[in-house]
Amino acid sequence: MQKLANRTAVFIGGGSAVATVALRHFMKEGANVLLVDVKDEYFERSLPERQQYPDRIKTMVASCTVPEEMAQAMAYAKEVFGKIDILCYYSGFHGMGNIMTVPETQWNIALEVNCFGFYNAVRAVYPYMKENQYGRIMNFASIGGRANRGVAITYATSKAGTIGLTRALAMALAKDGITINSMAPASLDTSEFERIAEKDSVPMKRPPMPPPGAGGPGGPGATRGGSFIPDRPIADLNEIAHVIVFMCSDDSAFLTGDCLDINGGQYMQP
Amino acid sequence: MRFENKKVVIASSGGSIGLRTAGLMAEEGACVALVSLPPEGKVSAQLTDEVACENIVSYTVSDFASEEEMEALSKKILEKIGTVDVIVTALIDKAPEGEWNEISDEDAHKTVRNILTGAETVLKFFLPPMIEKESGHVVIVTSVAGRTNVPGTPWPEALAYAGLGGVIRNGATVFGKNSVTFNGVAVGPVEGMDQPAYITENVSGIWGRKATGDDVANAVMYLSDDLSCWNTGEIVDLNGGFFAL
Repeated sequence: MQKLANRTAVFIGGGSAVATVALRHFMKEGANVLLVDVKDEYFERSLPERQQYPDRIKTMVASCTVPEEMAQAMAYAKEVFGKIDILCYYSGFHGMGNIMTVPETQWNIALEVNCFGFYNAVRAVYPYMKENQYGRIMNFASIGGRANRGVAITYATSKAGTIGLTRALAMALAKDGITINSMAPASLDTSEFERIAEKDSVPMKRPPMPPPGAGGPGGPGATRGGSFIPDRPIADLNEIAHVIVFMCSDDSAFLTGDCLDINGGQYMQP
Repeated sequence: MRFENKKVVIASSGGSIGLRTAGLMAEEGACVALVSLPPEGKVSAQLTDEVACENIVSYTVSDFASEEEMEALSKKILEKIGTVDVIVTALIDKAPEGEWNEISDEDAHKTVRNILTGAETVLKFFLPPMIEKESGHVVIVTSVAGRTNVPGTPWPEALAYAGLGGVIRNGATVFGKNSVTFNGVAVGPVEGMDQPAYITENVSGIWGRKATGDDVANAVMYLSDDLSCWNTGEIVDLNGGFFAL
């Protein structure tokens, strides 16, 4: 039985590697999907899926940081698919630096994309979900916001912030039958896809990750981390997509305001 | 005395936490620069009335998140006290009450800027002396609203206070190699603070009373003590047992 049969989903940041793999799973589970991203080139990754399911996958160029464009995206999803049941927020921005070195612009963009952008998307989709008193919203956060693995201050702060934001919105929208959760994966295997640089991001120069137990850029043990799954240092995107399908299906009806930690047991580490 | 000859910078929105922390640290021998928001003279008057003001110098800023203002102030303060051993931030702000989707973009950004960007900017300009001498403690006062969901929390506050947790963990990780600790204290209702109703009405601990400014100050001082150097990247939930209920 398909878990997302006749459901309509909007993927913000729909051109990302994670969203592209999730799209395959959503097709298999029977959903219609509108992919939204800031540039057409991001959609090239999903060309095979779009050719296979031309009626069930649509695309739209829009930015999560512009509330009006989010409203237009939701209106378009409603127009072509008739309703909206699911919102998946994949848009992300890493930025660079630590407390001492972070440029003000990178700090602000990270908050705009990872926090305010999510809010813009939720606010835009809310009328459509409220209308049906049903909704599933997934916010793609990161272990960088839960613990710390030597990530940039921009990323650590904005991902922690968006997890708090998710909790607050979950409380506010629960009365309308809408569940909102975030997930916090650790490192992912995105080798299937060619990397596309994030818009406006300044590349962060970091020394190579040291082996487990060795001293890292933040001091001894500071960047220690890694999966506890034997021979599996990082997650396969299909495993991440499996979690997203769960969070967006009726299987997760009693889950809201939570953050799922998908990290191969990293929290078991000392 | 526990903080003899220690140089402390406290960035406060003007409530009891900054004031009491300054007072107790000064009593323990610290030299304190207490930086607060306007009105000018409000904190100075309280220092005279409520807190032994010896060893406390009071400053006022209009915007903790302004890099220009904090850079100028840090130069002024460092010229006066020479170095920094402890930085405490206790920045709060209240987002407008109302429906979640009726908070204006301007108000939301203002709240996040005052709480989150303000703390980061303070650290940016007062951390260098600690890095240079490879020693120091940072304590960020945050809110229970950043640790769990409290009914009625405006989302910009939830975002900002949770984001402070990211600053704490990242700072602890990055500056651990410089022997600088980063920790937080997440408070519930506190006497003498202008807190929103969602906190004072919905957060209650085992004793059913508010924390005092001294309760919070004592937790801050514990985390600022050199003997607490094995605590870093932690957040103490100072809410009177709210999580235990």
